[in-house]
Amino acid sequence: MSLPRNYPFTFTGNGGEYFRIWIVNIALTLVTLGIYSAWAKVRTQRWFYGHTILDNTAFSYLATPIQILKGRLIAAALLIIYYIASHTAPLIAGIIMLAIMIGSPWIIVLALRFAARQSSYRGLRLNFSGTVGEAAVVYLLLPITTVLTAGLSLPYVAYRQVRFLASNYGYGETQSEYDGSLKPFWGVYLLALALLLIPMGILGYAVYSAAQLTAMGLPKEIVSAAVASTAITGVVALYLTIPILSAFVQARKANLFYNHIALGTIRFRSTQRSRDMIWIYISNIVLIFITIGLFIPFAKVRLARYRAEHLTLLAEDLGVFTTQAQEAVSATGSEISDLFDFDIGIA
Amino acid sequence: MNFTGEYYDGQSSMGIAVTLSFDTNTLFVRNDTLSLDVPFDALHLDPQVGTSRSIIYLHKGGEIHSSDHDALNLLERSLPHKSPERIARRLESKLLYAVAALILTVSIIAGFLRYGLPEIARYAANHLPPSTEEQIGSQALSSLDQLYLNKSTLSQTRQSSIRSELADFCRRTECPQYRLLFRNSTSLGANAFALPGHTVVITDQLIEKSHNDEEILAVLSHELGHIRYNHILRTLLQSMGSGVVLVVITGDISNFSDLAAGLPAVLLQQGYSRDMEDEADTYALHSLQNARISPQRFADILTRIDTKGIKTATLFSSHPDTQKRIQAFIRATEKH
Repeated sequence: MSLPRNYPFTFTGNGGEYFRIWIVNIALTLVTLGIYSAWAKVRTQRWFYGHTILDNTAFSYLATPIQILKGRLIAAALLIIYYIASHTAPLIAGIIMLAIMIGSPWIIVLALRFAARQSSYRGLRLNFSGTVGEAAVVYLLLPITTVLTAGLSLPYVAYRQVRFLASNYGYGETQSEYDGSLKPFWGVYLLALALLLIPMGILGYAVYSAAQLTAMGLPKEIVSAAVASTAITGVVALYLTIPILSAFVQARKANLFYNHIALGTIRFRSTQRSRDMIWIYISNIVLIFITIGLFIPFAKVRLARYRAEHLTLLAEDLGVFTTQAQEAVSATGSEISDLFDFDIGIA
Repeated sequence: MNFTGEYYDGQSSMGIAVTLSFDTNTLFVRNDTLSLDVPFDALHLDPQVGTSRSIIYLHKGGEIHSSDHDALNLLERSLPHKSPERIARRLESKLLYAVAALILTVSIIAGFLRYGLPEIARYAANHLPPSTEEQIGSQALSSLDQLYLNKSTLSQTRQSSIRSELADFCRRTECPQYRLLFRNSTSLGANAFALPGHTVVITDQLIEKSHNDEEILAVLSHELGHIRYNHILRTLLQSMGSGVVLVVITGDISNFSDLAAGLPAVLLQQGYSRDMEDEADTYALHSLQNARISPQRFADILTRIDTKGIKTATLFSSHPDTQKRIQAFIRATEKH
């Protein structure tokens, strides 16, 4: 019996190269009134997959532009019908929105399955076998409880979502399993909540003092001038906290995802650090702002490289996986969820 | 020419080291135990993107990987099916083309924002249900009332005399439907502005600054011009539209819902375009002439507000070239 070996992930792409691809994608998409966006997506994905290397072998993205285009056209048609209806027949628009809400677990599962099956490594596709029922629980039902419990159930919801993803992937015929527990999620979200209290406290204080001053009978112009600086500090603090929080949660969730997923005998080790991620997020935002968006491709590459370089695969042998043929999945689920923005990403 | 790679059969993740070569219509895959001849119409090679590794896909299943870019490029050129993506790849390959793409992108966006969006906004503003417009207007008014405006300190008699003078003015010239509101505001100073839903607000401070009521009518006729041509809604829709453009370009639809929440703020920050100001000025000029009021009145009050240096006067409207605007009214007066 041999000991597991470490296989580090590497990312070999650089920002300058992606910048050219990115700007050509945008220009061609504009010139073709959006049609090229399907090619743009496929070329972008192929570039990122092709530069993600494990054991000297690149990942491959299999979707064709035509598949993506079909999905996009259906999603766009739905969106247009919805917008027209929301102005002329609110009832129909409401029904469409309701149908999408109810159908969202199905769309999520389709999107995850499409993304997985278009990803291949060493000639074998990934797969996703999560059920629509469980998706409905973790993406529809449980999020409602966070509202009812004022956010206290958030760690549990996040845990169930991560578990749903991590226990339903497959590679060849091998199914993934998740052995993480709920406890570390509590740590992540309690810390996040504590951070959020800082700007919320400042804003609350501004509202409180405004109410006090108004009660004292001061005219509102003086009141708003008096609390303006506190309120602005609060808002600035809030805008600073949001990227810090999302970077922190992203990093911790990625670690909790990868470090507790088992693919047969294969394990992963993810070593993303919150402070690195916070630095990357904030410096990316500042640089994107300063360059009026031109830094976006460099920012994406930076993030992809950090994620790859902090992920290691532990296995005895990568050549032992096998499969049987799989049926095709359409891109519609993936594209509908793209357009209506369901947050289902993990890492 | 020979080059090396790994062959994956699509059934197992075991890679097999192979030597590859090709002639005009077949790819030969070889090693000690394997001998595979793949005709070109039974394989597929994704056009390369940048320096990322491209992969040969076999139609019957299986992948061949190679890190030999030059050999793969040669193979791609020998394949009978030329992908239209090779044009994209040529564009992506040179910095010069990237710069051209950047210039093209910026000009298309700028052109759309300057010429396309205003037309779309005009169409949408004219087809928006009146109830929606009312709703936007009353929302904006109530947030303004909370932040900047107080109850007017003018007497009821003074208010109704201005109202009846405006009504009389509108009998002598063609006015859009309107609702006139009086407010006191030290923070906004001498100001008048139009809101969606046919509402005109005039501050006590402006009325104090006027030397006679014809000057008030002159200012109000300018604001009626904004109402007549739906400038407020058009401006609102334009700034929303440019937000959408931004979102589409950066590919982040999730910010879309945030845009709608910022409407009152947009209304405050966004001035009318210069074209719209000109249009409202022209309307005011014609109305004043129709009502037999000297256009000089508009020039007078504009000069007074401007030279007194009340900065907040530009909060609601971008009046960049007051002198030029005044000149137009003075010229009209002289012609009279």
